[in-house]
Formats: sequence, C-alpha cells, structure tokens
Amino acid sequence: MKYAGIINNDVVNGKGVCVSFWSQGCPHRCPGCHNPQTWEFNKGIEGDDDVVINHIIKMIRKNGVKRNLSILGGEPLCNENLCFTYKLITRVREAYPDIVIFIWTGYTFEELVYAFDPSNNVLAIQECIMLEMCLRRSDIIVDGRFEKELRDITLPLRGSSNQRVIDTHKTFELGKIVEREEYLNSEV
Amino acid sequence: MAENLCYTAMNKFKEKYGVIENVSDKDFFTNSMHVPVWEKISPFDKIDIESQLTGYSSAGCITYVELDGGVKNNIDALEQIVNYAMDKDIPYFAVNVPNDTCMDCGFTGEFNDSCPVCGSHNIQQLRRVTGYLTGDYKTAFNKGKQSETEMRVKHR
Repeated sequence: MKYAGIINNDVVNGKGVCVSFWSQGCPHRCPGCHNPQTWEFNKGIEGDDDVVINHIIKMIRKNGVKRNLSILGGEPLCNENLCFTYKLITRVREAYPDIVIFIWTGYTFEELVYAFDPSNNVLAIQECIMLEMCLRRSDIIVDGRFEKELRDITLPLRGSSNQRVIDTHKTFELGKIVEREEYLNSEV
Repeated sequence: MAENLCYTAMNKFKEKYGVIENVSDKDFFTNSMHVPVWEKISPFDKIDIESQLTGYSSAGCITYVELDGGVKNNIDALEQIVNYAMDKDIPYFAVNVPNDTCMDCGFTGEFNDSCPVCGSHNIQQLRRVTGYLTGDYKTAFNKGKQSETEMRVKHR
C-alpha cells in the first residue's frame, strides 16, 4: 500500500500529541488544496500494511506518553484506501480502546452514511461494513471538501467554513449531525 | 555571554586547528548539553537525552523544544510536553513556537512576509534564540547564532 507520510509527534492536527498518518491518493482534488502531493494514487511511500500499523501502534505509547491518532490525506475513506484505513482503525482501537481517533475526509458525513447503506448500492457489501466500522470506531470526523471561496485559516482543524468537526458517537446516537463545540469558533 | 561565545570560540578554534568535520565545520559550537539543532528528534527523546545532563549545570541550562505554531490551538499537547519535562526534572524548560503577528488584523501564526488572513505586509516576527526573544534575529545576533537558528528543525 502507498501512504503520504507519518508524523510521530504531531501537535497541530488533533487534540493532544497525536500520531498522524496521511493516506496517499484522493479523488476530490479540491482547488487550493493544502496537500496536492497526496492526490496521485501511485505516488507516495510504499509500505507494508502490518509494518506501518505496528509502527503506529508502537508510537502511540512511545516514551510512556499517551497519544491520539489522526488519519488525514489524501482521502482515507475512498475505495482505494478504505481497506487499509479499516485495518488501521480496527487494530489501533483494539490496542487502545480509550484514545481519540480523528479522521479527515473530503466526503460529507451524509455522503458516507448514504454510501455504507447496502440498499443504496453505492459500495459492495464488504466495503459498506468497512466504511461503517471506520466511522463507528473513530471519535471525531472532520468532513467536507476544501472550498476555496470559504477558506478561513483561523478555524481550528479545518481549512474552510463548510467543513465540520463532528462528534461521531453523538451523531450516530442522535441520528443527526452533532459538531464538537470546542472547535466551532476561530481562535485568533 | 554564551550567545557570543558560541561564535567567537569557534573562530578561535578554527584559527588554531582548522576545519574538522563534525567538530568545527559549522559557524557555532552547540551549547552545553543540547542535542544539536539539526537533529530530527522527537520532543520526548530530546528531553530524555538532555535531562541526563542538565542537573550538572551550575549556570544556564535551558532545554527547549521547537514546535509548530499550530500548537496554539492544542493546549492539551503543550501540557503533555511540559508535564513530561517536569517529570524528568528539567530545571529550565522552554517551548519555541514561531510567532509572527499581523500588526493590522492581529492574526498570529507562522508566515513570512504577508498575513494569510488579510494580506498585510505589516508583520512582526518574534523568535527565541537561546534564552532570548528577539524581533529580528538577523540584526540582534552574530553570524554563528544566525546560522544556528537557520539550521533548526521542528521536533516532531
């Protein structure tokens, strides 16, 4: 599998010190994208699934420090990257049930929920399960494409004001989008 | 003062011994127990290494880590790093973040000559060089310390 990069001690993306993983390849290609080098599916760093996942699992507790996990991209939830993202989230969640897992995706939450419903015939049944599990096993999803016209770099964790910082568990529980209040406003 | 000595002493050393690879091939000596500024190392590993020596210093013994400016939105991360340093008995700990302020709209972060929010060129750049905050390290510090500042990498 290909990935774009890993930062072992990231203090920018997420909350607390995070291990951040960037997937490689993105179907959205938003104009003004911050990471256009992650667009091509055949570029990036070649890695073995288990080696990369084991490294991430080890790094999360390196030096006895409790880190969270941020998954960015690229698009971690598109078909090409879904299987790896699913494996990564599942194994990290098994190892550390209580850390916070963040996912950045260019899809909206509603698009993802529609896609993982098998009756909508968007994805194969296996992919539906993997996508739903990725969402349910994560804690925070930052969703939506980057919209150049709505660019606002003062917003925490996102680049444009259409993007939302969504509390995954509350959203599934209540059946409507619940955004994390601490990230709603800009901090200049 | 150490900030000048790191350069003057290196010049004297070069006069006497010439340029020796990995000893005198820079414009400055690395301060006391510091991990060299160009080493790609995590904040925690840097604290682990420096904490073994910092207690022997009878004078200045700052341990610092270089972080991304975005840490301003992540107080939890800052707290984890500071607590780690305190647990390792670091007597004098500092966090360096690039601190550029737009004098027109007030946005702070890391940017060079123009503000990413309002486009203004009226920017104040603040950097810490050793223990000191300076508005412009290119005039406030000698060639050795300028070169040290430019070789720094973020600890992540």
